[in-house]
Amino acid sequence: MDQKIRLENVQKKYSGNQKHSVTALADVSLTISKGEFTAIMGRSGSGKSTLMYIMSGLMKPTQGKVLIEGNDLSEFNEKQITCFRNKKMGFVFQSFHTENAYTALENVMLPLLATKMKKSERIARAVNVLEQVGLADRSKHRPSELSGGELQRVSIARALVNDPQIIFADEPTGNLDSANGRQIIDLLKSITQSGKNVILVTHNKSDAELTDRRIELKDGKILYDDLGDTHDIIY
Amino acid sequence: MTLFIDMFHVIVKKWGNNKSLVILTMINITIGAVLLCFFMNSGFNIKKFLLEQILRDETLRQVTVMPSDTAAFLTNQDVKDIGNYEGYEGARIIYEGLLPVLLIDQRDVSTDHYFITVFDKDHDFLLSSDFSYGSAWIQRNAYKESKGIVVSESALDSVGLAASDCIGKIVEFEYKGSVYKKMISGVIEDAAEQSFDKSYRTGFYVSNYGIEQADRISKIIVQIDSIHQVSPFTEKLTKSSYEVVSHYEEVQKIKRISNMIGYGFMLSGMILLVFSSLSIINTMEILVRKNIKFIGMLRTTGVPKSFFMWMFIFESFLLGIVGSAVGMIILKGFCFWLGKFVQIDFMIIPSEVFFTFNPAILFPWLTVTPLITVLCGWRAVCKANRIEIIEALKAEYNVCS
Repeated sequence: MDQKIRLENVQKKYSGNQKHSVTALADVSLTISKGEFTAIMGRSGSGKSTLMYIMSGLMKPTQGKVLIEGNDLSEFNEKQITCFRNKKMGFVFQSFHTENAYTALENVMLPLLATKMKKSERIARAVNVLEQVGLADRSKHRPSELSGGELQRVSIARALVNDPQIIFADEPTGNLDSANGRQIIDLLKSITQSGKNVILVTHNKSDAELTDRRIELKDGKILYDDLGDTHDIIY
Repeated sequence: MTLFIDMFHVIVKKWGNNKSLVILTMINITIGAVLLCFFMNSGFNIKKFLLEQILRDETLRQVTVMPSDTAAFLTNQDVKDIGNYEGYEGARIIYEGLLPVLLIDQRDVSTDHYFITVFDKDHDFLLSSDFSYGSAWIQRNAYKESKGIVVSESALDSVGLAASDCIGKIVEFEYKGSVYKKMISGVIEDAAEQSFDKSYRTGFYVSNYGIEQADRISKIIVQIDSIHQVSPFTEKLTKSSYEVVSHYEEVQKIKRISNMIGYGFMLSGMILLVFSSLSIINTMEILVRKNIKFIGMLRTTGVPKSFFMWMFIFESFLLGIVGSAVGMIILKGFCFWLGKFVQIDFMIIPSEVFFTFNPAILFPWLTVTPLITVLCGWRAVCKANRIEIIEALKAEYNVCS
């Protein structure tokens, strides 16, 4: 299978001073293949969110390399990495980050800001992804008029509108009940059918059970990986 | 263009989300703009009013040229040189002197007899004489060089003769704007007329000297239309043979005082503008903080920093422009209505001076406002650019933070 994401000896330290520096990730290496639905699990403070931020280029590692489709993110400047994220990545957040001033359709169109795309094309794309997430009939509604599950679907639609290859979902079911949570995970799983990758960051084991691969972190190190490949350091 | 439409769209939404903050800021800017424009308007108008009042006195706009030291009259060359400025930048030349006269040299070709004829502007007499060639020449030059009236004995005889032989005819003619009169004798009449008509007529011939204005000028006043030309004119007229007196220094003082009044008003306006600017800066900072999550989310999805930079500058510009445009409209109405109903003089300055809308304030308004608003937005831009995406995503807005 094609390698989509590759991390080589990634380390991340948060440094106040040397005595108080915290190692969030320690020498993490892993490979994620195309179309894989991967769960990154772990308790709070295990480094799962840091790993997601580093994989998405939102954060730079202290050491090591992150390669997305063979592109070394450390070689990109800020502008290039922003552009790269815009084209290749989509994000789903636990707290949705939808704007109440905008309708669902307008929220979905937000990542298309500052692109040269025509308004009609933007609308067509947004309508298309809203249909994919089953919210075509709610496109004119504002976030305050939508349920939590619907808001997360809007958030997923927004992540998909740029047609990215990788979707990062940070605790997408954290604010939802189990039924809605299940629907969201199913929706994310369906996205991988088209060859896209979904990286799900969660501490919910039942959500993780539905993914193709589970990587568990503890104290910044990989505790467990379904693939059981050579990257794993098991304690 | 799409970028600006996008920005405008986002800004309008943001304003919609922060209505009270934006409205209060707008009111602040509007009040600031009204006061700024009122102060600037009053400053311009008072300055103009004072200049008009003071400079109504023509003497302030006069440049006087007088002969230097001992000489009683300006030389003909000086008179001629200064006369060349007639009409230049609205200059009007006023001659003051004893007797502007005309000299006409004539020769009777039939007898080869020479005449010098002197026409006097202020008297009705024709001073004339006939001379032999040599004495006429001497007479003429003596007249010019002595800077005084030379009436020879023969000339007096001639006057007497003219008077006694007068045929009672007085001829008027105009030369360089002055009307000259002469009482003529029959003999001279032809020659005098001839000199303004043809160069030759029965028996008389106007010599090479022709008509010449023997300017016996003791003072030339150059009356200038524009106060601003007094100084350049004074500087142009520099020659050792004459002295130039102008009210240049007084004018400069008056201009300085009126400028200070104008600047004083402008400064007061600027202080108000600073307060309005602070309100824009404050609003922009609050807008950045209130939208920190939104900014974080957009930057996560790959909206570049430059978008936020332009957006905040554009937003600040819109706040400033809209607020000050409303202020300008209010001021226009305010000037109109108060000018109509309030008729009170403030010291020597009538109320209309304050309430006349001066379009001159549009220029500083059009230049200063965009500049100030862009500067005000810049701080917000810097704040927005310093936002860490991850921190922004985690942030909870707290107005006290």
